[in-house]
Amino acid sequence: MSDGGPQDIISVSSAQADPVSSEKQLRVFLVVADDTTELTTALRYACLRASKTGGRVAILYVIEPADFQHWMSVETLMQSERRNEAERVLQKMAAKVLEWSDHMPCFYICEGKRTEQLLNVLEEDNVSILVLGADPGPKGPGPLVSALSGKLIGKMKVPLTVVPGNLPDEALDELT
Amino acid sequence: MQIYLPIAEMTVDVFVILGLGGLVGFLSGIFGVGGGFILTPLLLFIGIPPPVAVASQANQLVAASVSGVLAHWRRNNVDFKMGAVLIAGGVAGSLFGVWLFGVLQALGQIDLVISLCYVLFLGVIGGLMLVESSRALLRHRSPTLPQRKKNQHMWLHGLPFKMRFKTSKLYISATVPFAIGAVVGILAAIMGVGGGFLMIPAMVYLLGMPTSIVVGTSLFQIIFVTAAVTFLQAIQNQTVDGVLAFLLLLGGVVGAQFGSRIGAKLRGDQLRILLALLVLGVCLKLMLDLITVPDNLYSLEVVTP
Repeated sequence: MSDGGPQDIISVSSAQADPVSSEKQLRVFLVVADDTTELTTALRYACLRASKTGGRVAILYVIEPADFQHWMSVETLMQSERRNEAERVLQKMAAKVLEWSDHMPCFYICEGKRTEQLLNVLEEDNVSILVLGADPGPKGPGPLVSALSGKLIGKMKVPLTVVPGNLPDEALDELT
Repeated sequence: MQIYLPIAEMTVDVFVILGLGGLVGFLSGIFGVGGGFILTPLLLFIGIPPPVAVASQANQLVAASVSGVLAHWRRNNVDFKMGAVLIAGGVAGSLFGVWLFGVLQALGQIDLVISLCYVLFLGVIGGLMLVESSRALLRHRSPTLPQRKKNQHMWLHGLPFKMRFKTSKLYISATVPFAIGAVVGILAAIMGVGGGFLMIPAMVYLLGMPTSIVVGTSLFQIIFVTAAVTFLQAIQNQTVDGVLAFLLLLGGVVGAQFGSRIGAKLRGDQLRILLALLVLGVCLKLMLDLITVPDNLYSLEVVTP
């Protein structure tokens, strides 16, 4: 991960400069970072698919906007801590992506509501497939999966792959 | 429609109180604050005796804080262990505060002390917020704000009774959060405010807690401390007016709904300047009331037997 320092992480709509990624036909698998366990499954699926079909993995991290605080110094500190947290999570994920697909992923860091920012990224950048992990538990697949496969399906510009969170690694290897 | 407030021992218009509750709920919805800071002075302005105003509105904060904590709890942003230490300090502080309140009441000085405390706190807080936000406006073009460093080693870390706080990722002396809680408890008892404006920076800069956890944990503490204050005031000083509290709550719930919608549309720095001006305005009015000579130096009332 020599090229993966925090300063290398780039913001919205400026995909990592890489000779291959400028080619239009390259398939980009977008994964949305969160703190669920099914994320790992989705990420693994995306990596394996990407490496077997010559695509790349991109990760979107949406920072929740900070609530209003009386003291500005507290609010700015809150924002910078969230930003650091985002970069820490992306570093960890990047290590996994490198291990599973032999490529560094592209990063998107946005601020705002998750669904809105995700749709923005899908609109503006050439993502080929959105890969989401689904919670196999009784509470339902998770807010993003429910929203995007439900009411917001009309706004989707790319196909959506939903990976059940309880698939074991061997099954993923076979499927991809 | 007139209604008699049994503890405040005065008659007020129901709609004035409902309106006040609504206004304060609206403001606290916009700014995300408990509203104690604004509500007590407003109650004083319409003639509610200061001890009743302070004690009756402490319980307003309970309701607002409960809903806030639930939202943070769902996101795992509450450090319950830290909250427990803060509560222990808060309860100790509010015991002391309520006792002090009773002593001052017996001396006949409580009205003056409450007003003075408010002028002092509102002045300092409003002033600091105004300085902070105007500085930010001046420095708007250069995004590199100098930041105070966190987690520096200070004398605070040498104190005994070290405890591990897992959620906050801290290993610090329990005496510091206890002391912070105690100060907030005293403030809650004497001024009827939740004290988040004081507790949040203290938790961030003195304890070094992650900012994501601070808000939920402080609300968690405020629930218990304001509840304790309400009970203690009711038992010891008999200054909680249930009718007043209920009417304020009713108005507050409605007002907060509208306020939070508007608050979401305003930017943080705009909100901060508005809040600073509001706080300073209330402070000024309180100060004028304290120093101007009243129209009637002596008041006479016809008391019907």
